[in-house]
Amino acid sequence: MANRSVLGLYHEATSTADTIDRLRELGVPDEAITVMSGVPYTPEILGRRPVYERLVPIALIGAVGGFLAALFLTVVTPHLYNIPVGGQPLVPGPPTIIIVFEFTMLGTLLATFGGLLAEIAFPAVGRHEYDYRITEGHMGVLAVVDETLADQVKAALEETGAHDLKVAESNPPPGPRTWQRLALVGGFAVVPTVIGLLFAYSVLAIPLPNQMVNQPSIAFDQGPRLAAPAEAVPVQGPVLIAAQPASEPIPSTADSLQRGGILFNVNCAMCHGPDGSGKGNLSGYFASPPADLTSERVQALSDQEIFMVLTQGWGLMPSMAENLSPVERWDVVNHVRSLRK
Amino acid sequence: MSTHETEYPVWRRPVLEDEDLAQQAEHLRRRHLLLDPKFPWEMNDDVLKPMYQTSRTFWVLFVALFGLVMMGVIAWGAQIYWGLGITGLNRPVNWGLFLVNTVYFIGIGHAGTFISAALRVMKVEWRRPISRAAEALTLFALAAAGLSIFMHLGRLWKAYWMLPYPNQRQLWPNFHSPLMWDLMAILTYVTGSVLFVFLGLLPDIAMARDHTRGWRHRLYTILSLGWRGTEKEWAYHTTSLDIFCYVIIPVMICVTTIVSWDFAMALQPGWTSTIFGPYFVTGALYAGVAAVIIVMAIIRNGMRLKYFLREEHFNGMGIFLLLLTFAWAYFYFSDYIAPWYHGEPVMKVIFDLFRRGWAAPLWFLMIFSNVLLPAATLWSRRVRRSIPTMLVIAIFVQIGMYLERYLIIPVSLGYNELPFSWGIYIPRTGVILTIAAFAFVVLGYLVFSRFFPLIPAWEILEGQILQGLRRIGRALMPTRTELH
Amino acid sequence: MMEQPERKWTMVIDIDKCTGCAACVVACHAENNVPIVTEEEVAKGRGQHWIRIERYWVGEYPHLEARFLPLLCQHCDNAPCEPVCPVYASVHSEREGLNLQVYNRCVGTRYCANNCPYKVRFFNWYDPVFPEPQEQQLNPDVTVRSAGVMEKCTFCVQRIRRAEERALALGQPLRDGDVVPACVQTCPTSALVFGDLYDPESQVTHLLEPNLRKFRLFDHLGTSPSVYYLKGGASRVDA
Repeated sequence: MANRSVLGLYHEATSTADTIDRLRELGVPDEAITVMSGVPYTPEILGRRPVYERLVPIALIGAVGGFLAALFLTVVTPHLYNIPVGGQPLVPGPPTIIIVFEFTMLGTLLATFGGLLAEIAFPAVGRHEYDYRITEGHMGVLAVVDETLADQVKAALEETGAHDLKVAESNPPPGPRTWQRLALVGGFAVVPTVIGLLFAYSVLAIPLPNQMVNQPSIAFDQGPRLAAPAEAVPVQGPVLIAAQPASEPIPSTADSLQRGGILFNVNCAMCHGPDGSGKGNLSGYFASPPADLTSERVQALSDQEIFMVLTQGWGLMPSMAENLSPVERWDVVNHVRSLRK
Repeated sequence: MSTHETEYPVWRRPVLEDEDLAQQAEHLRRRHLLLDPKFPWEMNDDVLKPMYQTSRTFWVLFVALFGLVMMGVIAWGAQIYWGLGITGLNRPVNWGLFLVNTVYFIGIGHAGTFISAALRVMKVEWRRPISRAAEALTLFALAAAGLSIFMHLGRLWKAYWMLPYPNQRQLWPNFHSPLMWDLMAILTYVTGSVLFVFLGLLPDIAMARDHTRGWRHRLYTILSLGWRGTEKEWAYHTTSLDIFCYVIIPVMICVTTIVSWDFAMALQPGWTSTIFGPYFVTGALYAGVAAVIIVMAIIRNGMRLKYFLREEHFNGMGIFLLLLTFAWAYFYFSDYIAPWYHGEPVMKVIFDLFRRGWAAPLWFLMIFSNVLLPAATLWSRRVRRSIPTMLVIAIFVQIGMYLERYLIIPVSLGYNELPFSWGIYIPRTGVILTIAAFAFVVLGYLVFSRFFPLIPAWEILEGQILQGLRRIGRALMPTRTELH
Repeated sequence: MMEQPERKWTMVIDIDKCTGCAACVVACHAENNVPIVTEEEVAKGRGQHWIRIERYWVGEYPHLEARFLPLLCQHCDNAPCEPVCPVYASVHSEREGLNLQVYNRCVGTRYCANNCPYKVRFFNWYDPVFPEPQEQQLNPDVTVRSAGVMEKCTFCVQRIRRAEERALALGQPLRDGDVVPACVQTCPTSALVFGDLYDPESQVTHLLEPNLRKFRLFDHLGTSPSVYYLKGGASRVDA
């Protein structure tokens, strides 16, 4: 039982309404009749029942969604991540009202538009079920009926003054199915969100010039370290470091050497090796290897210079000032001296 | 077509035997668009043809505007590269022309929404040919406002931190801040406006789809979403427009209120006025209506839309403008008199500046443009129906409103309770970017007018169905019905 | 959970002792990597000094007097700069009563600067330029700010942190005088005093105990600043 679509074009509303009455008399159900026009006519003009549209409930759902989103942002997030500002309470009253209002309105608008799209967008219609003259002020009455009725319907339409008739097989071309529509709309919504989240979680990253990561200021233990001029570091006498009492070297007694040895094994051996040759367990992990303390280069340094390296660090070596008090550092210096080959 | 003419009672011109009545009918027909029906296929032509007309003037304008926009792009790039130091901003004037532009352009956007939404709800019929032209202005004005606010950021590339999204820093935006309320309000307003324009455009895109060929036909086929004009589509469409109207009117009022609260929430003297909310809304609408008048005047002549945009529309807008003049003057006076009366020292300095200082020419020009000129002229119907005069008055209102924003933002910021820290703002790069922003709005509008019909044909057809002539005694009166 | 207030860092500035020498300004520049903006920039109104000496002339020539007001971030309890930052770059530490500026969070809307009634917030209009070898002098404890971020006095928070870490390492409580901001350290007349108001033994507590000379700037705005000024003499219109 094939279906036929019969489309008649009319000049104005009265003959259109008459046509609808005639079609009703012929037994065509209301759902099978579609009236198309270039301007919105009310159902009363055409003698039709009003269309029930679900937009108001959809809009309300959108409003509730927006309301809840706003409450989440203004009430839940400050409680999750508490950051106090300016003597104002964590959830301030008036700003919360503003945000709730805006999100509720946004939700309403988006839901209304989405509802409209979902209901009317991308219908699967054939070319015969529309005529371009509808946007020229003509009114179209489309009846999709069983082929047995088609001839009667055609006659009825001609009688009521249709000035143009199209009869054709009503096989709507395979248009986008619901899931295809959803995929398209979802794609528009989801894809940008996903890309945004990828950026947000630094999965994707644009190498923007983030100047403050690279600081021009240099700490003691960051390179490049300017070597002190020849006479700058005291080779003899106390070591003067800002905000600390002057530090005199400790004589290299057996006690000092013993203490120095223990401290060396605890603090220094992992990088410089237990024998100070620079082959400690961690030495392979560094870009520039720990110094060989037995070498001529290191042993040629004065005691005070070695003390300065311990206090301030050198290159990749951190400052040992937190680990060793000045006395302990002198003990280690004495021990390093004893490592001379 | 001639046989059809006799069969279209709605759009047929009435033929009256009585000469007097016929004369009255002719007079009414000339004055009122909605009593001057045209056959729909002719109207479609009139609406679609201007889209194709790209005369030499058009191309000259296009190239010039594009050049100005490019100049703005380069200036903005320089600003991002060198830092905001190339503007004239300083301490204490941290906000200058960019904020003025933002507030100004958001303000202009209001008229579009008001005409499309509020006038529709109030069933004011003369809004019909203007609504889309005004809404298009809203779209590009809001875009320019958005660009201006991005221009003023110190680290623009981090601006996305102001969006609420889950992240690994355990940080959400600070909703105590008026700038966040601003962001949410503007987002809502922009979304609403774009969707609103699209909704209104839908039947006209369908019409364009039916009457164009080639790439235009393909474009409109996609955009029209398969619109056929069925009852279901119209019912949903009308209800959507209703919901949008009722929602977008409070959103519109709130947007400028919230933008004004950027200033009202600050501890800056001159900004802490509680009247800023309604004051800015009125000012925004005022500037917007004047901007729409300018746009109407230009497209009427430039795109040969004399059939659609008639003196009656300028008259209606003129009355609206006059009412807004009084409203604006009322709010400005209210904002002025209280601090003047209190005699706060800083406000005394600022007011002195306005009356006698270096800002005096700006201030007097503002008062003239916003109050004196419109109030003196717009009460006259002859003035309101004269399009060149309306254009001049509207341009003055634009100048006045821009000056008002300028006097509030950079000028007031320069003065505070620590005289050692006063400063004066001399705009530098901001000027180039302001010109570029204006050029962007005009350019966008120009391009929009080539792609989409600026006159909502379906609304005019609907209006022409609604309006008719009725004889009461010896006179022929226009009548109007309601379809909904 | 809200932090418990442990300390209340307070500064007392004795204006009667201030000579306007601006050594504090220089010290602050050195300690906090504050860029030197050029003369033209200062003429445009972009002078960048975390502490500045506001100088007001009183009287007519030849009976002219200069009054000096060292003005730095007041670290207000109800800081107006904090609620207006859209990205939480300006936040309050309730534990120690400091107003914190998070440089790497700032997007540069400059609302905080507009809202500060003391105008002590500075925006980096350009990237700072430290011609060689001045970058060797930069303090590695303090971030060098790029263009587009706001900055202001932090009460030398890096020194506060160092002192706290040291006290923790040594196992002793933080004592008055352990934390000395650069400006306080440098002031030749000791017009600037810094300390913890919750510490009953600290110098600031003793100075602020009944003191007819004390006032806070713009108290009527309700910002509740942590900087107290001491001034006696003719300028005080008091009973």
